[in-house]
Parts: sequence; C-alpha cells; structure tokens
Amino acid sequence: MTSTTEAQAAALTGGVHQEIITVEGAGKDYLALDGNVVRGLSPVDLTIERGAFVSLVGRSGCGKSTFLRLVAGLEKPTSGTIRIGTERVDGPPDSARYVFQNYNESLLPWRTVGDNIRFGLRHGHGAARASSKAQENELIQEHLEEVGLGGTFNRYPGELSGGMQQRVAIARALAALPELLLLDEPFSAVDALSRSTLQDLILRIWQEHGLTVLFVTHDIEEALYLSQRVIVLREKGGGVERDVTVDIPYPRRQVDFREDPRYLRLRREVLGLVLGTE
Amino acid sequence: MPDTIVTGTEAREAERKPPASGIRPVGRARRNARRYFRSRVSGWTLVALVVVLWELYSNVDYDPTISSPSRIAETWWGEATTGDLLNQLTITLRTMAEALALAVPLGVGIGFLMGRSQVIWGLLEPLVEILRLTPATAILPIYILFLGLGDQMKVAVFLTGGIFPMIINSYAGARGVSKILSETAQTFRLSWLQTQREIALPFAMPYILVGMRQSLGMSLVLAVVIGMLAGNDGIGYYLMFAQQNFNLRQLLAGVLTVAFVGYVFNAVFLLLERRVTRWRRSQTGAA
Repeated sequence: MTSTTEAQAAALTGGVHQEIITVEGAGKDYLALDGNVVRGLSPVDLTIERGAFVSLVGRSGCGKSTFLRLVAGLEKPTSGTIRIGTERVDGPPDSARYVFQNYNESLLPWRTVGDNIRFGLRHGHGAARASSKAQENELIQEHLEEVGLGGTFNRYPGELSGGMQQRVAIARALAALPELLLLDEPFSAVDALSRSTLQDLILRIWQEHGLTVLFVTHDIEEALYLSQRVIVLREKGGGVERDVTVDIPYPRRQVDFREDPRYLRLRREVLGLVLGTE
Repeated sequence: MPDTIVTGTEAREAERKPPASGIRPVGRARRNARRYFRSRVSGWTLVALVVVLWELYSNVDYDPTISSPSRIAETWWGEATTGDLLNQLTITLRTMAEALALAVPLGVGIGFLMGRSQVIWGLLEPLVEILRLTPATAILPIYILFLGLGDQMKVAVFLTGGIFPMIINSYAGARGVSKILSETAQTFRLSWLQTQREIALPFAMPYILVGMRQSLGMSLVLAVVIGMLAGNDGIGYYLMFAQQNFNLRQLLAGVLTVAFVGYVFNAVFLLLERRVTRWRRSQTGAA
C-alpha cells in the first residue's frame, strides 16, 4: 500500500515519470453512412503516469469516449499507436477494465449480484486468490462490502437502484484486479446525491487500490473534483485543447472543494475552453 | 464473515422456511403449480360452468349429435381402461418424444449459431426459409413415398414441421445480444466459446424456451395430422376411426384427450419457463 501512495504522490508532483499509457499520434476516422469520412478524433499525443487520476472533458462529439475506447482496445485507431506499459494495444488489454455508462446493459441480469462479481473474479486476476468456492464467496462478499453493497449477494441487478447497479459494475471491474480503470461517463445516469457518494467512492478505491483511473465525463465540476489532470478536448474530434493540472491536494471534501478559490479559477478556465469563450 | 455468505440456493431455501405455525413446508414445484392454478381460478370456473350447463341442457332436451358431458366421460373411461385410446396416445407421444429429442438440440443449435455467426447465417438462411415456408403436410407424401409409414417418416415430418419455431426464436435471441453486453465480454477478455456460454446463451434462453413451447404445440398438431393421413396408428388414426364409424362419443373422448394433453404440456412448460427465467421478473415487472 505504501508503494502505491508513493507512486500516486510521485504522479502528482511529477517526481517519477513511469508511464502506464503512452499515446503517439493516435486518431480515429469513421466512415459515415453517406460514404464520407468523419473525424472521430484528431491524432493525439500524450502520456499518463502510473497511479494518476485523469479526466477527459469536452462537448458531445469531441472524441472523449472515442479516446477511451481506443485505450480500452474496443476500437482500433486509424493512425498512430497506443501502448499500455510496454505493450501495444491490440484488443482489450489484460491490465485494464472498463466501466460502461449503461450499467443496466452491462451487468448480466440473469446472474445474481454475487455471481456478477464472480464473473469479474474469474475473468481477470481475481480468481487466483481463491482455492475453494467458499473462499471465492468470501472474496466476492469483500468486494461487495467495499462498494457498500454487503447485503445484496443474492439479489438480481434488476432489483437494485441505478446507483447500486453502477456500484456492482465497479466492484465487478475491481474483482478482476486491474491496474487501469477506464470509466465512460459512469455517473451521468445516476441522481445527483448518489453521484456525490459515488464520486467519493471512486476516489477512495483509486487510492486504496493504487489504480490508474481514466475518467470520461461531460461534467466539468466532477472532472475537477476527482482528478489530478483534466484533459480538455476540442469539439468535433479536434484533439487536445489543453492539459490542465489540478494542483489541489487530497482528501478533497465535496462542499469545501467547491468553495476553494483554486477550484473556482480552474472551473472558469475549463468552462471557458469547453464553451469556446476563452 | 463466512456466516454471512450464503449461496443462492441456500438463501432461497431460507426465504421459504415456513413461519413457526404448523404449516408444512411445500416443495417449490408444488407451490408453483398451486400458484399456476390459483391465478387461473376464474378461467377454470368458466370451463366448469359450461360443462354444467351442457349437462343440464342435455337432461332437458337430449341431442345425440352433441351428446352430454356425463356420457362422454363414461365413454372416455371405458376407452381409457378397456379400449384403445391410451395405447394409441402412447404411440403418438413416443413418436413425439423421439422427434423432439432430435429437434430440440438441432433447432436450438442451428438457430443459435445462425444468430451468432454471419458465415453460418449466410450458409443456412436460404435453406431454412425455403423449408420453413413449405407446409410439412405438403412434404408428407414425399416422406411416405421414401420412408414408408413407420417411425422414420413420422420423425421426419415432426422435424420439418416442428423445428422452425425453435430455429427462429433461438436465432432472434442470439441476435439480440446488445453491443454493450458484447463489449463487456470483450473487456473481460472472454473467448468465443466463453462468450456463447456465459453471455449469449443465457441471454437467448427466454427466447429459446418460447420457441420450444411453440414447437411442442405444433408437434401435437402434426402428431394428429400424421395419424390421420398415414392412417396406421396413433391418436390421429384413432380419431379418424371413430369418425368413420360415426362413434361420436368416442371421437369427442379422443378430442378431449388431445386437448388435455396439449394443455398439460403447455402448463408444464410455462412452469419450467418461469423457473428458468426467474430473474426476468425483476426486470419486466411481470408476475
């Protein structure tokens, strides 16, 4: 645990440069139905340090989700390369897990909550920790308790609220023991109060597990509250507009943070960039 | 910690532990069957009412062409105990069972793979569509010509007629797997086989069961028709024989038996569907 906190501190201060994601000229063009080529994302160059919490923001269609899907290996770039560690991304990488915006379509509705976590455990590095079914159940229970869902082992996802379902999806991703967590607007379909709780949950998980988190959102305040770095993308797939460092220490508190002058200044800057008024 | 962990089955067992009163625990199957009938009480009352009115009417003004429930019941009992009814029914059901043992894996397999593989779809779609739209009864003379009147012919007819609801529904289910669900499988790095087993097959299961239920109903229709057209044995033959002898009560006893068998098959299947797709109730809100 100490080493991970050190890594995160290093990532924050820029002391050690150990990249987990290296993007070199990676871009994506789509072929539209009318036969025209549409720019999904202009070639991007950037690196993300191990242990960092980085958000991508921008208007709809700016290519932020496209970028995340390229990193996740769900789509292939039409130019450039992406590497995770030293390995070039060609299909979903072993060390990353992806959390979808549509949790209700991503969970397996025919499996109980516990068996959904079992799915994550077995299709990842989590299963190796259990030598018996009882031990596996114990691990599953621990994963559920970590996201505050201790009593839902035998419920079905359809019986839970939206916020609870997204917690299951996060716990399932964590059960695979990834190094890199990719989240695509994970809280946008959740009510505002649950969203605050989930934001604090993801921060706690990031710190306790020593993860690297890449977080896509259209909510600038959310991006600033969570991240060490906010990457602003230009509209219509125009590539990186600005790479903003959020130099405000953790732990951050929902109410206090939003009154912090440094936050207010950053919010003004990022909002201006996204709206195109700066 | 370990004592808070219970497997799915254990929790369900625990849920239906009876309260401390003297109520005896009831098996799940029996409880489901009980609920099945309780939810249809009004419908069964209606059926009973029709029978009672029919019986009363036949006592006032007896018409031999429609007979009466008590007389038909009497005939049915005679036919079932000393007559040929149950023998012929058994022959038909055995042929059906043989055919379904072939048709279920074949129909579900073909439909499912057509839904999951573009290559297999391209290979089989024309053949399936041509055969599906040809009535099995139209092919029957060809089968009789080449396969004779035995079991082989009957199984072949069942296959051509009864397999399609399973192919069509399994295909629809397998095709319906959403993009997000497929990508979930991808991000957890499932192999092709794992994706089919853990994602596509469970997703398609409700559709597959609907297809199987439709096939079962169609098979019963075919069973009767084959017996009538081939005319050597089975419940269809029994019905034709009764009709040709103008034995109306025997005919009605036979028809009611087929109706009853059809109803029981359907009911058993609905209970099975309910059991297998229990999770769906949390989603659709259907009872």
